[in-house]
Amino acid sequence: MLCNVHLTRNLNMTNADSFHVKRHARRMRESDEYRSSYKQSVREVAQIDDLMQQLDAARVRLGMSKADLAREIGKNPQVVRRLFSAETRNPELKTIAAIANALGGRVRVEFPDAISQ
Amino acid sequence: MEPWGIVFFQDADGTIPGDEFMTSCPDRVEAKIVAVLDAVAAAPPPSFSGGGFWEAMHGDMGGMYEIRVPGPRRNLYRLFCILDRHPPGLDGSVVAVITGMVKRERTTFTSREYRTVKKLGDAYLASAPRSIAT
Repeated sequence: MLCNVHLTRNLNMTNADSFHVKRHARRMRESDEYRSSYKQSVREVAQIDDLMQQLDAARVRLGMSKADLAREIGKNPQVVRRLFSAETRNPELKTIAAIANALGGRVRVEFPDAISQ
Repeated sequence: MEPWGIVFFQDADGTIPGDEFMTSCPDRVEAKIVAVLDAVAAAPPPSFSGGGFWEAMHGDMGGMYEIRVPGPRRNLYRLFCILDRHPPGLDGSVVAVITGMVKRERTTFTSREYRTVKKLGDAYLASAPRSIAT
């Protein structure tokens, strides 16, 4: 049941996000497509985020500022700042590859053994 | 960093615009939106890079964030959110789902539509304790 918290007590966090938790649990039960898409999307989002985190960690280890990195790849410093601060979406693969290259790395895709052999 | 909660804004008339929007989305789109929401809440910005679907809004919509997921028939589904740090009435910080809209790719919302989103966001931020679905 829904109620308006204009009229209710202060909520702790467990109660606060229970609507989302219950909603998601119900949808996972109701829809096969929702369930399979959710699992796939979680992996997809995590992969992109992990890639960006790895690049940023390498930048920090090398002592490069975001402005330094932007100069290396010939981009506006704002482009790099936004890439690492969730202010942009869908980063272009060529930008990712340029950043990896500037940091002395490379982008590669790995497959489980069963697929790569 | 502590994970954040995810809350849905509930309007004064009892409606929950974010829930209504998500319910209207195709299952695949809805699932992706929820996956992004969960990722943001698990590692809020700046820890979370966005995963390719999360973006800060600018200009008149500054202070809001959106999740953009392409769907069938070249439609783009957009969910509008607010990162609410230590809101009144809650123990921790939350990603607040305000509302959502769908548009054809390569088209833009009207300023009236954006004003509607902004108005709902302002109503959420003006509520103390926060007006959320429970």
